[in-house]
Amino acid sequence: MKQRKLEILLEKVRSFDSPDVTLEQYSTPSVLAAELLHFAFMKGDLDDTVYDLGCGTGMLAIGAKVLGAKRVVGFDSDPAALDIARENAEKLGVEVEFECLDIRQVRGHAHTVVMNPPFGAQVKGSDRPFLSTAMKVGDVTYSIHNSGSLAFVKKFIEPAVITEWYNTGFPIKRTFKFHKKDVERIEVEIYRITKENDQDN
Amino acid sequence: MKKDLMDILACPICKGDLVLNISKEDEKEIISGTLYCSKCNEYFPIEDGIPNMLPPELRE
Repeated sequence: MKQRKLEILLEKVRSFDSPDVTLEQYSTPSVLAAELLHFAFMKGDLDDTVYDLGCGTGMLAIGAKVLGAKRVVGFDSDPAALDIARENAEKLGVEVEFECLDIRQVRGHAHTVVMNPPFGAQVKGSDRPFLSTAMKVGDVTYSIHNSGSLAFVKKFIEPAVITEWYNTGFPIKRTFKFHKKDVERIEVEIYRITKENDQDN
Repeated sequence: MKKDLMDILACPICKGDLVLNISKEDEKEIISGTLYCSKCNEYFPIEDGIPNMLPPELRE
């Protein structure tokens, strides 16, 4: 499937009803989700089990399943968001499982973790449990971070390493009252992280 | 939730195994029921197909 087609498909994914600012519940824009997923797909990382940490309304999880992942599980601590995620999966006709828990409690093993964690803009350090959990349960992780996070992430994930990363834009629609513009373009970075022992390039 | 999700589910308090109790299911998955930890004597609900593993004080 072409990236553009995936993006159009993911436009159907419904967003949060009442986003919680402390959880940074911004819906991942379909253009960014399609970009990350296409990147992962081309690297051959969407064949096996995929976990979406902090899946919210299921954008990345659903996209991963659309692209053919064998098994996809989405985790989030907000039951209301997961209700919407379930509806979204049904609407797009894919089978994705969802589980409601604190992200630190995620167990099991996935070949690939995809996530758009909170950036820690509201509650400092809120991206850390996501990175820690991703390192614990996944072999390969695709994660979206604020532009300029490279040095921090690199250090935090040791001994895992970033094999590739790139800069891209992230349109964010007016979601909370303190937003001044209708749409603001946020510069973000997408990282591909592997545990050192199974690094393949 | 599907039954094979049980292999990654654990009690969030003691990390022990959980006992699945199904009250409603269709051919594909479990719609509602509970997950029970005998060690902590705690129940975790499955509602609309989604297991809620948040500790009781964080549930709505």
